[in-house]
Amino acid sequence: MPIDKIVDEQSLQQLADDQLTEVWKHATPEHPALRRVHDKLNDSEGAAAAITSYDRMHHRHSRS
Amino acid sequence: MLEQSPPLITSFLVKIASRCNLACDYCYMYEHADQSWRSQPTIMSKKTVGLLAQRIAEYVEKTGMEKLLLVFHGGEPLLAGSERIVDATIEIRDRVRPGTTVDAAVQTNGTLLKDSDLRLFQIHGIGVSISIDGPAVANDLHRLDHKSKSSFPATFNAIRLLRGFPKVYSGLICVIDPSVPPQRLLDFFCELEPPNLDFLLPDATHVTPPPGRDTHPTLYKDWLLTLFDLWFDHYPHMRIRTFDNLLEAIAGLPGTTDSFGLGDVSLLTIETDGTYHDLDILKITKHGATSLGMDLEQNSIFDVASSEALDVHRELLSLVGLSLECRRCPVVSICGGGCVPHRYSETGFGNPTVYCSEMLALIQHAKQRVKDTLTITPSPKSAELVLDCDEVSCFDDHVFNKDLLHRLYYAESTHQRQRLRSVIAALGAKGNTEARALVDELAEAHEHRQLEVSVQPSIVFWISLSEQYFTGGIPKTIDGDPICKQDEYVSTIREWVKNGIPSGIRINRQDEMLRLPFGHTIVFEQGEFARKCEVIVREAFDLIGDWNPDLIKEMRWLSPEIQLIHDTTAHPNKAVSFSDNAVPHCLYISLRQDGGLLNAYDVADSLIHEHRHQRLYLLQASVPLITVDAPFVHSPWRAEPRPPSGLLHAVYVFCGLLQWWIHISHSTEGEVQSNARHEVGIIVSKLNEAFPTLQKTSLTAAGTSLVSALRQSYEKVT
Repeated sequence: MPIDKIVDEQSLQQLADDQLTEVWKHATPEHPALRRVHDKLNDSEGAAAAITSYDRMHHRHSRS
Repeated sequence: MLEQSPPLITSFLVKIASRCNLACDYCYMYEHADQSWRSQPTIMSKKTVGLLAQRIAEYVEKTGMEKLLLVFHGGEPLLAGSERIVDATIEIRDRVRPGTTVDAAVQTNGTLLKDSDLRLFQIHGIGVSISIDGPAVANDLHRLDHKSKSSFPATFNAIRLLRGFPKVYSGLICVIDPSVPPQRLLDFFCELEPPNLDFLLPDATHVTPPPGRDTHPTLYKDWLLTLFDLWFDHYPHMRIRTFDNLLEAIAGLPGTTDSFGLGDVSLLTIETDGTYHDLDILKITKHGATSLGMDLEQNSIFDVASSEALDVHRELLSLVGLSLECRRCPVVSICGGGCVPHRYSETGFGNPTVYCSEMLALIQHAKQRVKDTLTITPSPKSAELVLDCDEVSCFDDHVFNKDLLHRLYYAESTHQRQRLRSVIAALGAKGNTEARALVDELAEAHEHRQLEVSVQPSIVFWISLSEQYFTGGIPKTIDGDPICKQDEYVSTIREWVKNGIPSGIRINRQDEMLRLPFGHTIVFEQGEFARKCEVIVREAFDLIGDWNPDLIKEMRWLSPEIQLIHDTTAHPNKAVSFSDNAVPHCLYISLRQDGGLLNAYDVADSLIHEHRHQRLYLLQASVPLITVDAPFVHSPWRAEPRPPSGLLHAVYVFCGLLQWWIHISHSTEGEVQSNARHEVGIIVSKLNEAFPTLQKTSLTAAGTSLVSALRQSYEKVT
């Protein structure tokens, strides 16, 4: 279910655990601790820990 | 018993020393039921270390694991000396098969830690975590030496030394005492800026309950809730592992400690005599509780992992191994029954943790705080800019599309200005006087100056770096080394706000913010060689200007920084240029090839190439072009499969380069012309292959519109 639907239909207070996870995943938390979990849920913890990585330089351009 | 494959042991707690120079009254090793330390050798011998290295090497070979962790523990591990710890690490790293990452860390009370030890640990990549219970008054409640003298001055001095070695500083561990006000602890630890902080409950069981709770049943609950609220409201940038893990468990993420969530056995203890033991804290339950009856000489690690003794512990970490009360509990998926040793009673481990009421209250409270704090807000950038498909289709134009690009650039710089404002306000609030001044100066500057400064590549990187520190992160280079805080960069930003951005395209400007993310892997050209390269880059810009003056204008503001680099990992016959969205609007250009330098035409190709990436990044920041960036697809430019977004970038870039090389093939003669024709041939053949693949990926309506426009333009010129 799209995230806005979930929030439209129920208040955050009534969310089931799995729905809370979905909301958390799609929220844009400014709270640093909630943000860390948000990043981890979106599997970007690695990117946050390493501000850049060799893999992320995905537009490397070789001339040979 | 569970019918499954043995657990994967990824962490090895190496008891390099079995004695301690302190006599902390709560220590699970010396002050609880198990007294087996008395018969252990004081230091692990070199022979035992050799056997351990051999066993770990065998295990790595058998399991194919790629990464493991060694934790040097005691007693006090530094009683064995830092050289022995380093030697053991080296021996194990040398013995495991190549490509295996062996992380190593020391858990110490710090009293013996010297500057020379830290230098050694830094050289060998060994982390240090220190145990300290707070300021002197708190620490001295329990952490005294054998003569009942305070350990605080020596430990505190060790932390002071350790902070000078950010690569080595792993964290701090504090055992809580509810007589110490939580605020006092948080103030104390906040000053020490630990990369990680652990608050541990005093080890207790149903046989030996938590001290003080018999007379004050809510003692620990009240204390924990107060600590949580203070942290959540005032110190959330601090990474307190206990609370971070709690929030992760509430979010449904798998547990990474044995305090929250269900899991599996992944740690093995090796005592100084070379015997294998289970989780060290089980020593609080009964004498010999950790013994697995096996040793390095006789048994492989795989034998231990497959043993029935470890299976018993394993079951306790699964739902079926929990007490009926736990299995019926609404928060069992978060709590996981709590720390196994804390479940112990005379009848065994079939009980909720002795801290059950505290855990339940903390989980429910934390969950409520999360719900009260989480809000759904639309992304600021997508709210500011709406483009229709026709407009997006114009984005294929290789000419200066001033209006569209300006709108995208305005949205991007407005977003970056907001981030910059937040970061300097936060720095100012922490007492940085330059940041406070900058808050006012930025607000007073002309709107154009505010936006222009905010979107500069070096400043965008600095904002990201600072944001990571505020959220408790430790930014790292691509080599994995931590990047220190760069608060002093505020003075450079102030100068730019006051005097404006240096005009024109800036080639190889000395600015650490453009270089820090890339560690030692990317070398930035210097001196006379850099000056030679710069001449060729300027020639390349002249060639681009002769072909398309509007493109040069566009590059001046959209790609204002050029860094001249050399990729140390690249094959010598390849000049590897790149773009990285961590430093947007900066082009990283390499000119070295086969011991010589690229000519101006090829450098122009690299500049246009990387600039096209920047152009597309800008569009993507406001307009989604791909719905699902999967599955990976074949790209004619790469051996390995690429995400659809990677193929889209390649097609976008090469459509632009095709026009460049067609122009060169028409306007030159001889070898240059022949090379240009060759480039055209290659690009055409690859685009012929790429377009049909790209059009089958999950493009949005805007993405489809852009790709159709690119294809139409492509078909016109070919």
